[in-house]
Amino acid sequence: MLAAHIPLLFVLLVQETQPVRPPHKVFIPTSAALDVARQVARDQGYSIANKKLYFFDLMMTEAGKPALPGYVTLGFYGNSNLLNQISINENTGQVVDSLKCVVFEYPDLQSFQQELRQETGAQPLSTVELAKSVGCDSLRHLNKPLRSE
Amino acid sequence: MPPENPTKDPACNNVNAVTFVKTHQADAATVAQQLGLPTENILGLSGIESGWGLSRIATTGHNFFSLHGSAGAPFANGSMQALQGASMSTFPSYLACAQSFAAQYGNLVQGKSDPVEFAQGLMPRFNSGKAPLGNPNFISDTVNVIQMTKRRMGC
Repeated sequence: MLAAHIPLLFVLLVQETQPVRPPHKVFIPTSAALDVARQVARDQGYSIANKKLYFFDLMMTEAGKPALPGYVTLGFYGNSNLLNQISINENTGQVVDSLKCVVFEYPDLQSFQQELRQETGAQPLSTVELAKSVGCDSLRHLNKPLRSE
Repeated sequence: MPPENPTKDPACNNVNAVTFVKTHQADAATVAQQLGLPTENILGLSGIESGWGLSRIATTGHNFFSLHGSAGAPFANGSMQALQGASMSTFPSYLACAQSFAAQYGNLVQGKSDPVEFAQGLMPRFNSGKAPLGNPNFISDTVNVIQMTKRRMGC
């Protein structure tokens, strides 16, 4: 009787003693984050070729910590006013503005997001999960580009 | 990992926003009182203008209200700009910047406690409300941030 259970016990024992594999961490270079932020700005209709008017800048705390943990965040400025706080989820590539509680779902972001998710193995977060992670009650979806250069 | 508190207000999940609110609440209250406003109106406006204090002009120049101008602006101690960009005043502190906002724009919002009236009062001088440089959603965005700020004051 006991002998019949030995393989099962062995499997359970092996499973119990194997260390939990940590999630695969992928680093989004600032240049890639900037490409995404520029796409978001263009898709909202901004003529970002005018570099006297528009610029992007990394947003971090004074201690060098991320503006939102788990996200790479860039500020998008027009005439030195903050137009968007563009945050890119480090696991899923989903892009939000946590100030305005907006999620950007423009089609031209998909290739970046798919490539990142292939590397991280992460699944996209639901809108509810995404909103919660950035401190919003809900998120407004923007998915139709207004104009692109 | 501790279990998640199901009663926790989601607004509290943005840790940097909560830190900003807690850090500047007292100074914002001082200026809000001068203008006859709830603290969250001043604190929320500075939050949305500075990305909860994380924009470069806020971290290095204590300019939390996107105040354009020179060192000659009220309460300013200098100015700075992005390469080829507009000149922004710099300040010695959050309080000085908030006082400068009050000196320059306070008459537009004096006594406007309601967030909608407060945001409406700031248009078009503070924000044109027109794309590309103004925010077409300035009123709704500002109102939302003021409401979130009030909740974050309780985090």
